[in-house]
Formats: sequence, structure tokens, C-alpha cells
Amino acid sequence: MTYGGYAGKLLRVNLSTGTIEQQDTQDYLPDWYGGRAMAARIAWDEIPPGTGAFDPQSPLMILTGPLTGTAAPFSGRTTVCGISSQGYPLEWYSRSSFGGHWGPELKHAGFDGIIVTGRASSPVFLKIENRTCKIEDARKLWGMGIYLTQKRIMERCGSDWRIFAIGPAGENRVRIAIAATETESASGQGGYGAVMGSKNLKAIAVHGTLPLPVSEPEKFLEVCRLVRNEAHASHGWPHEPELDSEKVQKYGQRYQACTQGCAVRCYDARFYTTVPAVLQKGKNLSGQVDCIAGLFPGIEGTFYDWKLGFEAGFEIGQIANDEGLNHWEILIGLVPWLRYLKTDGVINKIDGMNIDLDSPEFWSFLLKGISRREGEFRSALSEGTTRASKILGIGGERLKQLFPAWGYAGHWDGHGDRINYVFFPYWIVSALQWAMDTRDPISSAHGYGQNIMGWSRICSPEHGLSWDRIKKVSSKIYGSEACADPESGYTGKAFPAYWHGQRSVMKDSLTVGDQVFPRIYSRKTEDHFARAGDMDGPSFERHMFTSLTGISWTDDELNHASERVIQLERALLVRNFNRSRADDESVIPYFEGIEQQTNPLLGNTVGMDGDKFRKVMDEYYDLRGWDRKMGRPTMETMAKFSLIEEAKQLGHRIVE
Amino acid sequence: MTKFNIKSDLCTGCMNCVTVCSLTNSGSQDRSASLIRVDLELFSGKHSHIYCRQCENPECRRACPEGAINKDLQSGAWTINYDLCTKCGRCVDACPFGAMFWYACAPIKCELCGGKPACCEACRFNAITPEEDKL
Repeated sequence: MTYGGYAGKLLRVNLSTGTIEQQDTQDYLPDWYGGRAMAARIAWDEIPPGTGAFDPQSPLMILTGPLTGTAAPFSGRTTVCGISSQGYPLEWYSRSSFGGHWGPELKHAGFDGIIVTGRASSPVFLKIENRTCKIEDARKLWGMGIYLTQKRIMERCGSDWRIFAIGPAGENRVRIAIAATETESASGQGGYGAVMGSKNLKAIAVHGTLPLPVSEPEKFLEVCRLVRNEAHASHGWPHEPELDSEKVQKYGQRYQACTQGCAVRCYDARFYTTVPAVLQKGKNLSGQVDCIAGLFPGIEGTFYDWKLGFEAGFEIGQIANDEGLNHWEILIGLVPWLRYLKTDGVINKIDGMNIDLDSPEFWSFLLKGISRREGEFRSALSEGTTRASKILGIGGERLKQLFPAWGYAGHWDGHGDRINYVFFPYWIVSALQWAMDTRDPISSAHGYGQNIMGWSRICSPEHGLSWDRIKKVSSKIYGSEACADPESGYTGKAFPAYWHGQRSVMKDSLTVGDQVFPRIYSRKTEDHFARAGDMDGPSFERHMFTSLTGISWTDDELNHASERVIQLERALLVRNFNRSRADDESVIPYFEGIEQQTNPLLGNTVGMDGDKFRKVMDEYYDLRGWDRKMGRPTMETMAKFSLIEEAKQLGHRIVE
Repeated sequence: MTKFNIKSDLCTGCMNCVTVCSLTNSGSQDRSASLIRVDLELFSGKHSHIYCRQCENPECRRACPEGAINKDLQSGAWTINYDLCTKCGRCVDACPFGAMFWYACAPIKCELCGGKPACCEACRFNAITPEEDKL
């Protein structure tokens, strides 16, 4: 059966041999229904234990989902999976994703995804159009920034081509290197830019005019219309923000979707048409500022209070994009860590230059040096802050305050991330999400802490909901008011982490935007539970999926398929990396530190109680069907998810 | 309504107008079937749009040797009568806005979805707004 929404083919490119093959997407359907789900299956089948991020045989998987590029709102994203170079203590299997318009273009070019293996003998780029793919010479592009690379390829191929490229950081295998498209849409976390660079793959250019089938066009249109109209501003905020009139006047600030299909005005995504450069004098810059990039100028009154100012901050953010560096790592991890080292009197200079976060010259020196592996100190930082601390033998204690685990800086965790406001007990769920992952888990799991805080009257005094209302609405999905109760402590925290785990897979597999889904709270319904037509908010994705594809799954079946992905990913981690509960517990010391914000209902700041958290972990393992001692899927669980053959490969590492 | 207007400076490049239009008019996600097109200028942020203005005295109609393009009195849109259309393509060449497209071996144009354009509703940023009949 041919399902709607899919382009129908996967492109497999081996850069060592120059082999280009096409595989039917159908081989993985419907079970591994797109993006992250499909990647998990391929990874299990094709990544043997011992494969490192930079090994030529290590596959770089860039996959869309059935909803990508369709009329489904917020559906422009693309998922990147493979062995992560940023991963710590091991380069292990992980994922990332990016927005923009590249994924939709790939699908119109006839492919649901690309799996790249091998290493080209010299720099190349892939030129993909309407079910064809050519490996093109990219030697003249090597060394260029991400922006110029895109422009050069567009000049050659056409302005309506979409390009996913790496900059010098990726070329130089910097472990915090991004691969990106347009001016701000990056596969930011995971170091997949470095993986691309290790394959001598500078860019992937796509263009297409092929149609995508739709199973039930009228129904799909109507579902999309309802979902689009129900959506609220992103970041869990109930109301839409306005533009900054001064910046509109001065810099041409405007709304710009950070990905195709976006239907809300969010807090962060802004395009600037004319910003005078500070370092490149006489030049005007333009580009997008999304997400954490708004922090580059520095924000007075926050932990991130350096004084670059808007114009220099904008330019530095663009430099980081162009060089191909991970904004989150730089702003939430690396730079705060450097500042700590300075205030602690450990260092004043790096590679001969004074650490001065108010100076754009310093930032440029820092970032360009990292991406090009210049100087001893910046070369160490090219390995990511966590590895740099080990290499340089400094800042270990400070690292523990900023980096929860896995080589990633904090994110909605109440500790290291000090720009996102989340207090106890909500970060207990974040801690669980961190414990069970191989990376910063929040990028596709904002739906808990961010949503609750954003919808609360603490963050939204005028538009927010009462705690009582938040508890009542959330109990519809979590089954208990304790799961979102600000005074519930450790009670009821395992289930939200479990539930949002499946939702994270769903978002990365369908694909839909993490900041908007799952729809839980609403100001458009009387009881404030998201609803449209006869659909409940948490079912929106499933209704779009079924009417588009013709795969007639229920909510439970889509959930089951999504949880199956988590089981297979965990089995892969056990088989290839010997992952166990001991690894999961490594997040505990970080969270035992005192939180950064205070729960006003409790009146004091707290750190994690490790013993209590271990009991929450027990609950989580029980929900997942993993044994408590090792944190691994049991044989019974693997059978429940029809993974018997896979379980056999785990041998003695699985509990009967 | 008789037409819609586009304010390109409000366009966020979300492409919802294109995906919804193509699906409404072709039953698939076929951008070639979309009757509104967006040229994304990703590095300048200044997007431009190709769409039918529902001209008062349209060039496409004047170019048609068969008299196949006529006004639908209910919607106010210029529509193609495919019973008369010989698919000569002169209308496509004649449109000064490039808004008469060639799809599945026939000319296609925006017919305002019978009076309630799907693109207007899909745009959540007021970049595409209906212009009510001034009569």
C-alpha cells in the first residue's frame, strides 16, 4: 500500500565508493513511520558496536516525516540522527533537528530522507533534484562560511534551491559544529556538522517539483485548519507578542517563520533586514535571530549580562552561524564557563587575548579560533566545553554547575540554564528527561516544564492560568493533579517524563514543531484544555497523521509505535554502548546543586534529594518496563514491543 | 469579495498559503498546482508573491482566442471555462504578473476558491487579506 505524505524513496549515498542508491521508504512503514523512528530502525540494523562518529561507515541520517512540508501547521522540520560527535563520555547514538525550508524541498525532490556513509576523497556536495542525485566537486567551497556556501550553490543551481551546509567548524571536526540552512536554522546540538565534515561533505542542495500524495485531502485540510487556528504562541505562552517598534524602525525587524508551516507569532523568531555591522565596518547585515541567539547582545539583570549590545550581538550571532558553531553550547555553557574561570582567577587570557565579554573583538577571536582550531586554548574548546575542561585540566567544578550530562549545557533544568525560568518540583521531570537521554533532551521535550511555567501566572500574569486550573487540565493527560502541582515534590514526576518521551519521538518523526506540540493548555476553550472540533489537543498530531497517510492508527497505536522507538533506541545504547542505570544516575550530582529560581509557594530554593530521585527513577523504569537495577528493557518489554529478535542480540545484558 | 491583497512585508515565509492552496486545488501537496507562489528571499527577508490580481480588464482574457475566461458573478473571480479552453497557452504568456500557471497540460489560475480563498484563512499574519466588493 502507498501511504500519503511520503515522497516514497530514501536516498543512500556512499561517499567512499560514489555509490548512489534509492530505497523504498515503504520498507520501514508503517511501523517506523518517519524521522527519528525510521532512523532508530536503520541505526539498529546498520551501526555495529564500536562505530565512532568520524568513522567513514558511521551513517549520517537526515530524515523528514510524513507531515513534513505538507499543509500540516508547524511541519517544516527535519531530523538528523547518527553517532554524535558531541556526545560525552562516548560518541554515541543521538539526534538533532532543524527547521527552515530544506526538509519540505527534499520531499518535493522525491526523497523522505538521506543516509550518507563513507568519506569522499576530496570535498563534495550533493545535488539532488526530482529523484536524481549527483556528487559534485566542492573543493572551491571548502573553507567558506555557511552563508556564502549557500549563496554560491544558489548562484550555480538556482535561487529556489535549499542548501544544508557546514562551515569551517564542521570541516575541522569541531565537536560543537552545526550543519545549517538559511541564516539561522541549524541542526545545532550533537556535533553533526563535524560528522558531515568528516565525510568531506560540504553541503546538500535540494530542489524539487514532485507532488506528495494525500490520503484524505478534504479531511486533512480541515484537521490542519482546526489545528492551525487553535495553536497558541510558542514557548508555552498563552498570548502572542508584538514586534519591538524601535527595532522595526531601526533594523527592519519583522516576523519570520523559523520553519515552514509555522502559524504563530512567537517570542524569539525575528528577521532583521538591516543591522549595521560593528566589526565589519560599513557593512549592513541581515538575518534571522531565533531561540537562544537573542542572548548574544547580553541581557542586563540576568546571569548573561555582558554588554555587547544589539548590533554587535547580532553580528557575533551571525558569525557563529556562518562559522558553523552551536549557539546553545556557546551561550549557556562555554562562555559562562569561561567567565567563571576568569572571576575565579583561574585564567585572564586565552591564547594571548584578554577575556572580555563586552568586546565583540574578543567574541570574534574566540569563535573563529574555535571553528578553525587555532591556539591551544581555543583548539581545546573545539572539542566542546566538557572535553576542553579535561584537556586543559581546569574548571571541573564550574563545569558541573553548567553541564548536566552527556557534554551538553543545561536546558530548562533550573540549574545551569539561567534564562529559562523553572523551579522545583518541575525540574525533577527535566532531570528525568536528562537522565534517560544521550543529549540535551529538551529540544523536543519542551512540553512539560516550559508549558507549565509559561501558562502559569508567574510568567504570564495577565493571560496565565491559576495553579488549580493547570493541575486540572494536566490531570487529563497525566492522570493525576500531582503531576503538575507546584507543591507535589517528587510525587507524580515519573509519568510526565514517560509521556513526553513518546511525544518527543512523535515530534521528531512526523515531523512537527516542538514549541507548539503537544497541545495541552488553551485560552480558546472554556475549561482551558486544548481542543478543536471533536479532537482533543494531544490527539492533533494523530489526526493529521492518519488523514494524511491513510495509516488508520488510534492514539494508542501511535503512542505504542513511538514508545517502541524509545525501546529500540535504549536497546541500541545497551548493545553498542553498554548503557545502564549507573550512566543515568550520573546526572544526580548536578541536580543536587541548589536551583536558580525559587518556587514562591515553597519560599526557599532547594537542590535535588538524590535518594528521592532514585525512587522516581524506579517509577520511570517501571513505566518503561526496564529493570530497576540496570535500567534496561526486560525480555517481557521487548516482547511487548515485538522486538524479540533484537532482544536476543542483547544477550546477557537483558533481564529475563 | 472580488480579490485579495498581499502585503509582502507581513509575510513570514511560512508557506501555509501555498501548501493549503495546492491541496485545495489539486487534492495533493503539489506546489505546481498552487495558484499563489512565494519567492522566498531567505537572506534579505524580503519575500515576494505571485498571485492573480483579478484585474478589471485582464490581459489573460484579452489574449484568449476562445473567450474561455469569464467573470464568475458570484465570486467575482475570472475563471477558465475548460469546455472552451483549447490549452493554447496564450493566457499564460499574456499575464503581466506571471500568475497564470501551466499545470497538467492546461492553464490554471486563482478563482478565489469560489469566494472564500483558502490562502486567506491559512495566513495567520494578515499578509493575505480579502478585499471586499466595492460595489
